Amino acid sequence: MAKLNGKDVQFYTTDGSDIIIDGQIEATISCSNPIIEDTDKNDTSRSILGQAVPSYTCEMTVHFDAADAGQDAVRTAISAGSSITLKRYDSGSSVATATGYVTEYSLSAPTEEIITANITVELDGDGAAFL
Amino acid sequence: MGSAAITKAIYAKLNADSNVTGKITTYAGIASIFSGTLAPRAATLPYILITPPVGYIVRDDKNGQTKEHFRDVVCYLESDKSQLTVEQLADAVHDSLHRTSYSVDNHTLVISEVVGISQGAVEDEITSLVVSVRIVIDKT
Repeated sequence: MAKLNGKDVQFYTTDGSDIIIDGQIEATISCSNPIIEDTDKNDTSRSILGQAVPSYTCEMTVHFDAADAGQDAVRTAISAGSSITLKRYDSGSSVATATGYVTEYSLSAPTEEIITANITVELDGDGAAFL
Repeated sequence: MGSAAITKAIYAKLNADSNVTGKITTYAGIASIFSGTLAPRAATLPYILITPPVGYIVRDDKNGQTKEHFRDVVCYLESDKSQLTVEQLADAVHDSLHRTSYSVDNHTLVISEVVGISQGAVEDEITSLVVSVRIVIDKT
């Protein structure tokens, strides 16, 4: 497995054909799996029963572009509360696909700066292929 | 990279602004706005020099090329002019380039902002003010 340049990892969505969510400057994929702890007052050390289930989150920062179809699909999904298909592309090839929900879309427009938008997508089901 | 396109765009913007051209002389029948490090020897004061690039910051996204350029536009006047006259020319350049829009060949202009006016070189018969401009362009 060759090392990748960060610019070659990008998120797409799909509407029959794959659509890039354009303008990305940052992409983050995270997995969390909280522990189930049963430490009580009589324990002398921490006790962990196990873990729950992993949850997968994809976040990206984009240069805002109102005309971009991919960004528009994200806005439509969060406004409608509908799911979105998210794809991870590496060097132009799809390597992972999952359904998710856009849980945050925040637009930042500071004076005399490029407008950016931060997007968070919580994946539904197993997103291990995204890691 | 866009530097040549920016030089051309700044020239066109200033040359089209009568508030600027009305404060400078003409050279060979056109407003005395030059680019480079030196004006022509026969140019008469006051005139404007768009100096070469001083650097840029890469603001690319993964599929697009965006650059933040920094350019100096230097206003040269006779040193016996009042400070008010010198500053009026610099202010005219400021007003022409600050928070305005103009065409940049093969790019979309995102931001044009004057970030400072400072004293430039002073010689026996010449004084100058430097108008520093920050320009963000997106390659089309």
